[in-house]
Amino acid sequence: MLGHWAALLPIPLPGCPSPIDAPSLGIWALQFTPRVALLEEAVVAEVGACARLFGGMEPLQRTVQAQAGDIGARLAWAPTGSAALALVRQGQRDGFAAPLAQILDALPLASLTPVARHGATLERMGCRTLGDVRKLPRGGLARRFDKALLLALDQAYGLRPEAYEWVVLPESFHARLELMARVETAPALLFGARRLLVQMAGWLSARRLGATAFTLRWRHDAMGPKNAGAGGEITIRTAQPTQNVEHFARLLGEHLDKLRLLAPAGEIELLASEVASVVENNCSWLPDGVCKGASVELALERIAARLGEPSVRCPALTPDHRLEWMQRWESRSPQRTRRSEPPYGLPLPTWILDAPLRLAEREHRPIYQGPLQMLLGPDRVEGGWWHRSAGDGHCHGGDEEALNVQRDYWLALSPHAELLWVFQQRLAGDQIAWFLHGHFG
Amino acid sequence: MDAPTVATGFAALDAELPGGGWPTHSLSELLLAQAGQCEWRLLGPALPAVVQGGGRIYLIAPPKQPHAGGLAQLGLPAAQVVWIDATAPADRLWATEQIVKSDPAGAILAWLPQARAQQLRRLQVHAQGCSAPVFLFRPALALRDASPAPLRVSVHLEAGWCLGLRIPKRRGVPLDEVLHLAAMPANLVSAIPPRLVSIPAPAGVRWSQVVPDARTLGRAAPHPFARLPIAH
Repeated sequence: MLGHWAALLPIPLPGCPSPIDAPSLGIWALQFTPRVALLEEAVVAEVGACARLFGGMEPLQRTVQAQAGDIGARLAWAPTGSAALALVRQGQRDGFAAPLAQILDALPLASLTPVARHGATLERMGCRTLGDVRKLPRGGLARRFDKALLLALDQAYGLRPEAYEWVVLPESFHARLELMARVETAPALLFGARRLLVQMAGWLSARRLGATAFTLRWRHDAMGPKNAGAGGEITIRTAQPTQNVEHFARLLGEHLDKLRLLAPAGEIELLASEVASVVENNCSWLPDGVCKGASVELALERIAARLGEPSVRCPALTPDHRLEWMQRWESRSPQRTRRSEPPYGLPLPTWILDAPLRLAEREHRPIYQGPLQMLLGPDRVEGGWWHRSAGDGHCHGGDEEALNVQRDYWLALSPHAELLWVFQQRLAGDQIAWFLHGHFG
Repeated sequence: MDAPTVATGFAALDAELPGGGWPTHSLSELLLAQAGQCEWRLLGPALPAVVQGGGRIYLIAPPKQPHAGGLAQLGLPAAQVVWIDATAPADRLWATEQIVKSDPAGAILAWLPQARAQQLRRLQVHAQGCSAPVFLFRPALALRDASPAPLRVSVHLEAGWCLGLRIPKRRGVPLDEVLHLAAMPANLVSAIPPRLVSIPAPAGVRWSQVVPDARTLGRAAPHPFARLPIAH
C-alpha cells in the first residue's frame, strides 16, 4: 500500500503570470512513471516501481527535482499520495525523514481538504493539527463528521488504499502560454518558449518519440498596429528525431535571433508538428567511435541554423566527365543512397575554380604568375551536348554552348612550383584560349 | 600521458614531430604563403588513415571550392567530406569552435587567416578535449606573431615535387634547417612517367625556347633541360 509518491504543486515562475496548469504538469510527469494522477490542484505520481529504470531512487529524485524547477512546480516526497500533497502544500519536501505518522501529525488542518472543510468546528474543539484530530475517538468522529474525513485521514496515513484515475497521454502535443509582459523582440520569446519545450520533451519521452519538427506560434496582443496581423509562426526542423531540450532551445534561439516581430506578442503556443520514433542506444563501457557522431550532428545543425542552411555542404559525385559537373555540393542530406562511382581515369585536382579563369597568353603560351611549364597532356574531355541548363535551357543557345565542352586538359607547373590543371579550348572562329580550372593543392 | 598522434606519411617529418606524427588534443598551425597551395599535398598521406574508421573531414571556410573527385582519388570518400562555408572571420572562428567542441571522429581543417592569438588560445583550450587532429591554415605572415598553438609548421613549395617545411615551434627545440619532403599528389603517382619524376623546375628557363609550339605538344612535354646549354 505504501509506495514512493511525488506531489507536484504548480507555482508561478518569476517571469510568468500564471503557473502551469495541472493537466500539462501531469503530461510532463508521465515521462517518469505511468502512474500519474490529478489530485485537486496538484499532480501526484507514484515512482517507486520505475526507480530502477532511472538508475535508482536518488538519481530519479534528482532528475525530477531539477526539471520540476524548470517547469515551475514545487515538489514533495511521501509514502502516500495524499500525504505528499499535504506536505507540498506546507512547503515541506521530505516525507521519508521520519515515520510518516510523526510528520503528518504536526501538519495544520488545512493540509488535507476533507479535514479543512470542518476546520472551524474542529478548531473550536481545540484541534490545531492533524495529530489532534487523530487523537479524537473514531466512533465519535464518524458520527459527528462525514465519512470522507476519516477516509482521507486513513489514506494519508497509509491505513487504507488510495484509488486514483491515472492520467492518459494525449495523441498529439500542443501547449499554450500567456506571457507575463508584452514581448517586443523575438529572442525574448525564448524565455517563455523554454517552458513549453520542457513540456514537449516530457510528452516525447513518455511516447518514446523524438521531434523532427516543431512549430512555435505567437499571437500579437491587441495593442499592436493594425497591419501586423494576428501573429506568426516559425517551424524548426532537426535532422534526427531528438528529445533534448537544450538542443531544441539552442536551435530555436538561433532562429529567433534572425526574426523580427511585427508587433509585441502576448501569447505563445508550441506544437510538435512532426515526430518520429526514436531508437535509444544501449550504453557501452568501451569508448565508441560511432557514439561520438551524435554531438557533431548537433553542432552541424547549430552551424546551419546560424549561418544558413546552404553553408554546410556535402559532396555528391555524379557520373560525368566534365570537371564542374562531376560533383555537386548539396546542403546536408542524411540519406546517402548513391554508391561510389568507379574510379575516374585521369588525375583530378583537389581544388576547382568556380568558373574557369581565362589565362593571358604570350607567344601562344599561357601565363599564370609567369609562363607555365606543361608536364602532362593533352587529355581530351568532350561532351555535354545532352545537357540543358536547368533554368531556361530550352531556347538560350548561349547557355547550351557553355555546357557542351571540348577541352584539352594539361597538367602544368607554374614558376612558383604550383601544380595547375589548365585546359585549352577552341573559341568561336579560329581562336584558341587557355583556361585555368583547378589546383593540385 | 602523451596524446596519440597521427602518422604524417612522411618518415622524415614523423621523425621531427614530437610523438611521431600530427598531434591530437591540440592545435597544429600550418603556415602557407598562399591558401590553397599545398594543403592536400601535405596532409594527403595522413588523412586516409583518419577516415578509415568512419570519421569525416571537416573543411571550414576553404579558400576555393574543393573537388570531391580529386579528394576521392586521394582516399577521402565523398561521403566523408563536409564543407562548412563561412565568410566572416567571426563566423569562421565560431564554426571551428563548435566543431572542435563536439569532439568529432575524423579531422578538422580550418582556414583562419585573420584569427588573433587570444582567439586561438580559446580554440587551443577546446582542442585539448578533441581527439581529432585540428589543422589551422594561416598565412606565412602570421609567423611574425606569437601563437598559442603548440606546433607551428611553415610550408613552402620547392622545385619539382618537393615541399619545404620549417618547424619554428614544437615541443622541445625548434627545427632550424628545412625539411625536404617528396610530396607528389597521390593521384598523380601512377600518371607521371618516370622521366618526369625528377623534374627540377627551373626558374630562369626561357620557355619559348624549350617548346616550339604548345599546340603540337605530345603526351608528355619534352624535358625542359634538353636544350639548355650546360653551364661549366
